[in-house]
Amino acid sequence: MVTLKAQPNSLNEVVVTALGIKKREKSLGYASAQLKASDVSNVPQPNVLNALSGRIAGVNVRATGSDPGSSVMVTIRGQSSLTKDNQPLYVIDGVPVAPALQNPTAGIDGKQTIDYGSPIGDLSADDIASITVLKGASAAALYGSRAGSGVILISTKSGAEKKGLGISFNSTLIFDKAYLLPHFQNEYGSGDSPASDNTISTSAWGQRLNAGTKLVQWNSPVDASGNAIATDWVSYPNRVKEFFKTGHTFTNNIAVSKSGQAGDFRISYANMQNKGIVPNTGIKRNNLNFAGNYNITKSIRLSANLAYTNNQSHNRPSAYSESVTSQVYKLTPNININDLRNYWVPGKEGIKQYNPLSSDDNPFLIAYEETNGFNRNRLTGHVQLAIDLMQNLTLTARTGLDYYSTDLNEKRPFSAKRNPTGAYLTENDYFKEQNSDFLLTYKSKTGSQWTYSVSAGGNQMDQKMRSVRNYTGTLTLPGIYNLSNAAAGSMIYAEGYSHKRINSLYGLGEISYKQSVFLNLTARNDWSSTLPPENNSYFYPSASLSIIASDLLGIKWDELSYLKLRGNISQVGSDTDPYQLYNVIPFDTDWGSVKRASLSFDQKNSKLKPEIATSYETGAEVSFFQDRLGASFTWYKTNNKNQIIQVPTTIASGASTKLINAGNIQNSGIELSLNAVPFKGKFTWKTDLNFTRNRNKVISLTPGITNYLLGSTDGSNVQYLIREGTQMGDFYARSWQKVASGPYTGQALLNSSGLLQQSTDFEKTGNYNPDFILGMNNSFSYGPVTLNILVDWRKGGQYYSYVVKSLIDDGFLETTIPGRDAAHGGLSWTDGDGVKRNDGMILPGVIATGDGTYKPNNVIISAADYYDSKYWKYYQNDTFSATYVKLKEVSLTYTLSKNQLRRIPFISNLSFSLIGYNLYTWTAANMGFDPETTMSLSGLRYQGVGHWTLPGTRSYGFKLSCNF
Amino acid sequence: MKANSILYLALAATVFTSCTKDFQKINTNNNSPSTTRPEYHFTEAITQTAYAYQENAFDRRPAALGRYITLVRNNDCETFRWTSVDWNDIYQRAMIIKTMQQEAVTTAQPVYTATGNILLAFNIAYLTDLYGDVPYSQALQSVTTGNIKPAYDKQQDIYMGLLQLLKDANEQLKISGTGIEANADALYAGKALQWRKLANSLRLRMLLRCSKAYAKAFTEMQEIIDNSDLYPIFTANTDNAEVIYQGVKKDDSWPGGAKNMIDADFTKTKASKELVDALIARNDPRLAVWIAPVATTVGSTVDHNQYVGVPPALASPADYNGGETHQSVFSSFFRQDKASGLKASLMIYPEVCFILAEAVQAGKVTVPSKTAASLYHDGIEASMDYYGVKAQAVSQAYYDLPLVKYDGTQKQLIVQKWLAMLFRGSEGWFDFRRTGYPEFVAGPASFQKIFPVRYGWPTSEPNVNNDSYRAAIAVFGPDDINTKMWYLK
Repeated sequence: MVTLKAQPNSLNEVVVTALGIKKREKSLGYASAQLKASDVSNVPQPNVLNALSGRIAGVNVRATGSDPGSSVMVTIRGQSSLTKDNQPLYVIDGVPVAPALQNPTAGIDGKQTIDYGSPIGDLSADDIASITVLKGASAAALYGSRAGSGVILISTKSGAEKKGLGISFNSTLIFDKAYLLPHFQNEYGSGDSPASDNTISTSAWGQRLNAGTKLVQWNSPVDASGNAIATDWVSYPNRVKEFFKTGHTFTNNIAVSKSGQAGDFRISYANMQNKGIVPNTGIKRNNLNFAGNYNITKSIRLSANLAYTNNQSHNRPSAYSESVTSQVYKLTPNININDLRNYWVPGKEGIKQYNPLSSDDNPFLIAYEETNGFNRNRLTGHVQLAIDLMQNLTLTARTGLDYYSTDLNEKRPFSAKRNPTGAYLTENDYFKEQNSDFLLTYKSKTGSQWTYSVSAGGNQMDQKMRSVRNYTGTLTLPGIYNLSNAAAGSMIYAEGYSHKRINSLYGLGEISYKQSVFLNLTARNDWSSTLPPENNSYFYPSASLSIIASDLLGIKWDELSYLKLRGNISQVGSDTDPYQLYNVIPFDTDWGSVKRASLSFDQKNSKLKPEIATSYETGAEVSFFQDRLGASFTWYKTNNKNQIIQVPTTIASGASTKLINAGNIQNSGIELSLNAVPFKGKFTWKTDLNFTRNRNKVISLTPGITNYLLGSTDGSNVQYLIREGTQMGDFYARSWQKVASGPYTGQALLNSSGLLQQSTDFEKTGNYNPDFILGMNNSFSYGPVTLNILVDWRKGGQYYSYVVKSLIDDGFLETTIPGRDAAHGGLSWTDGDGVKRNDGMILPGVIATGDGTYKPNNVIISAADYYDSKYWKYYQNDTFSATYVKLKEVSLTYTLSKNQLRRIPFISNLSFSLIGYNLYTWTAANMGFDPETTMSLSGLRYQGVGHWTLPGTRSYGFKLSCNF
Repeated sequence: MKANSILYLALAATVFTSCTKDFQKINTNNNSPSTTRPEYHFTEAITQTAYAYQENAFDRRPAALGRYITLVRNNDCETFRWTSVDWNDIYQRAMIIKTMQQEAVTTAQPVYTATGNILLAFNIAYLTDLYGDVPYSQALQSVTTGNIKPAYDKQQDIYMGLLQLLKDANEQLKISGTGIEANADALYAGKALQWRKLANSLRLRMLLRCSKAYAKAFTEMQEIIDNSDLYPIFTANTDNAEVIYQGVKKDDSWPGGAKNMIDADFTKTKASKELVDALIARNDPRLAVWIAPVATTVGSTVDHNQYVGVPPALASPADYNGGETHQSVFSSFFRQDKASGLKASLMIYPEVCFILAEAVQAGKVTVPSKTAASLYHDGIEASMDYYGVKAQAVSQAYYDLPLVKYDGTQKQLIVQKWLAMLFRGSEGWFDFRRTGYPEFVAGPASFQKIFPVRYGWPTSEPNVNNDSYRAAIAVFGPDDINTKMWYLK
């Protein structure tokens, strides 16, 4: 007689899957991963999505900025869509919620960009019970259109977890400090050349500092006869560090729950107060959650969740051009930042700013007066009724809502660079999504060899958005930020509304044999309002198989806990956004009091078809020594076809893009997880390793189009090109001319002035996707003390840094020190104006002699011209490796033992932790940028440009948790 | 519960979810209309054309290549370190005009078809003057025929086509010129006669420009001159094709005003040495209107005048003459968001005078009761009048100065035309390209010794229209800034 081994816990672990259906791990034919509550709340971060980083194979998490309110990009198994944001669908307690990533918006000055965060960042870490990641089309086949890039299921805590009355309280205090900065040079001050006495230049090619010289500077005092007095020409190496403050985040969360015979409930309130590293920035968040289950009768169960969040900030830091970071980084080394703190000209407060260089805004003016504020109120919730119609037949009906309303406002004061007479913007965005669904499930009786369950259901998703925007680029009186203060005729209005609905029907079934072999089948059909009537219905099935080989084959090897094999084939169909079928003719701004109409140059297509993604996946999981050693391996391949893409066309045709179905983008890769408990007992050491490698390939675009320009940056000089046979994420730029043949082949071909010359063709310069991601999580516990360390290693990929190019071109970085004077290797020469100088340099390369041969370059140019020639137009020199290793999370926790707790009344659990995140980053490029947060987010479709973003920040602090 | 109930539930579910009857209503975009009236596109086409053309003339390549301005920072434009330039805005305006003409057919307002053709000809002429061969006959058809890869037309064919277009538009407006909505007409407040004058004056401009390559250019010019009833042209500054600036929002204000240009950009735009020296040599009354005096002459190293222009493409232009305090920027007149004398000009009367003067001087046409000298005088006088210094020019005896007194040379004529064409389109650069006058010399830091003669086609073209792009190169020549176009050969 065969005795079944006791099943290890991991196989029987309950996983929340699509539609909120709970399944046991063993029956899943696809790779899934789950984070426990402690994974998320141990080191609670303001945006809970950061907890996913480095923990789950196949998931690439990127915080787009180092401040708490910024959006987090999550890419699962690579980018597959050319036009969509490639973000997974977020489902909270079974209800899909608003799109997670919002485009950072251009500020009203047209230059600074502001990230108002994404609604998913409204969640409080201490309220989360688990996060399940469904990675491929397989697991997400039941969610339809939006789940093409995976699904992240978030379950919040309910009252059912603990019997009786429970109160829990968590308090966290974290400090944020900017530490990763570019390597600025502090040896030469402001000026256009080493002999220049133009001390208010925007470049730093000027005279040597700290040499005992005195010069007339921007803030020189004036003597009795009105002449400026020369002051010490010294450097202020801490000018950038002194601008950024130590930020802090203080979070408190209290929850009350009770469970009993008739049901359970949980109410929690969380409050977060944050002050950012940029002065005058910060976020305040309040969350109120309610979750309740009530058994009306034994066979009718009612449950409801309601979450209200208010998330607001009076000022979010801006990024990219002319932001606070760019102004602070571009201060020449002779400027003492503390001299800029009073940013108004005395006697002209509110009217004229005080700044040494009239071309840039005083960074303190930007921080204190050029504010970008928002206030978001959000209500998410659902009500569900489950009825046991018969013994094995259950009907579940549910309706869920995600509603939010955001008010934005942006202010610019008088004398701001781009808005000299001020500006003011207000915007109101409303979003509402309602999902109503039902599911009828029949389960066969347990106990026999064959068991099965069958379900049928349907869903209606209705989504509405509205946005109203009013702004003026000219105020009448300074300091009054109210629309009535707009200069006459200067108001610009915009309003938009969109509506979308998808109706669906689906069925699922599971057959299992001996609880060792599981076959899951799903089928779903969607009808979408966004596609034309003849093409608005699309059907997509999936099949997955899970075999517990160790049980099936009766392997009786004590060391082996289980061996599971799994495989999966599935399809996911997808629609598009509203209003993509026909063009409309928008109005332009009024000209005086005359109406003007413009055109849309993006041609719509009334014959669109749905997109289809097909994926294959196979893998195995094995566990030894009662789950003390385990491994999981997955191979996957997904093809996303018929994508609805905006193909660029020549504007000479009258349209700059045309919407077509085209494209076949393939992502294939492997995911590997290892977990081990090398030591178990009084001293326990658990380790988890997960490895992700994704390869993206553009299989085809469409006949006639082999090159697709996804976008370009830096004045069209860096292009993101999609070419058949290559990968998404490639970026191209023109390089310098090189010798084609002969003894000097490959060397730079310079012109007669000794400068690099640009070639006409664009060549591949880099790709922003990593080669692989490796996350390592180690947990050491000894008695009541536990130490958790999470390290995230991202290898490969490149980013082009616009910041490095700009800083080198003006002589701000250490890179530009060599050659500046004789002591640093500069050659002596005489320039075109007849001045004798010591900052000569020669670019390596050859010059054509005119008779077909070449001679090595011997033309001496100034150091400034050398660096300008090398770095300004040749993006290959400004492209760096994006490889980094980050100490992502560390926590040291002391938990009071039962003995110690006996002496404290009421408290059933008390722990105290020292925590930190993003504590240290090692970068291969070593330029002082964090590749994760330096890359810009452009239209959500491509990254890769290192832009002006906040410096890399480390955070550390402590946390107190207790339960009553 | 019985099986029946389950069946009813299933049926209800099917009915409820497969209901798509509301879908069309849900997916109808009510944020904007699907058709609109031609008047709205008319104002858009006029204002966008004029403002873009003027902005180009004031602070972009045309101003640098026409040697009016010298930038002391970010001076790529005049060191010739560029090739490709985008042409998005021109084709966008052309598409708006074409759409307007389709709407005019629907609403039966043919007058907008005719005026639309004049605007279209203006835009496409500018396009081909800048690039040479460009898509034209197959262009703008993405909606009608779906052609998203238009072939490039030869400049000669484009010019002939546009000249005919202007001739026909003039004809149509003569037959029926009523119905132009006065408020919507930002150029001429609804007066068809003025539009005809613009059409014919544009023909004069184009004919002179291509006269070296087009044998019948001067014959057609003569035809226009001889029939002022049939082909009216500009005869006074009141005929100028100009749009005013509202000065309220960024996009309806003068490009040099505070709304559009930050202080640093205005101060880095210095007056060019060529311009200032020419004005000083003639004691030109326009000097004080256009140029600001230097902050101080104390410390000037090479040029001790009250007004100092900066030579082109120096190695360190900011240090010229001892620094920026010894260099002239443009006057506060050009720093306003709006002013009665600041307008976005498509074409002005002085240009017509100089066109006729040059043609008469070359002996190719005759103008009744006018000579080359009198036309030359008219041109200068009209320009003086435009800037409000007409009386001053007379009282200073400007016209009797040796440099100014008519000497029958093309060089002198073009120099005066160049002065009058300050910030008027690309005429300064185009005339230099065509005649070699004024005799500009590339600066020491220039990437090449000769002045560019065209813009390179946009960098996107090889990606989105490769076959046509390659075919165009095979016909036109290499896509660089020195390849001569048809009428320059």
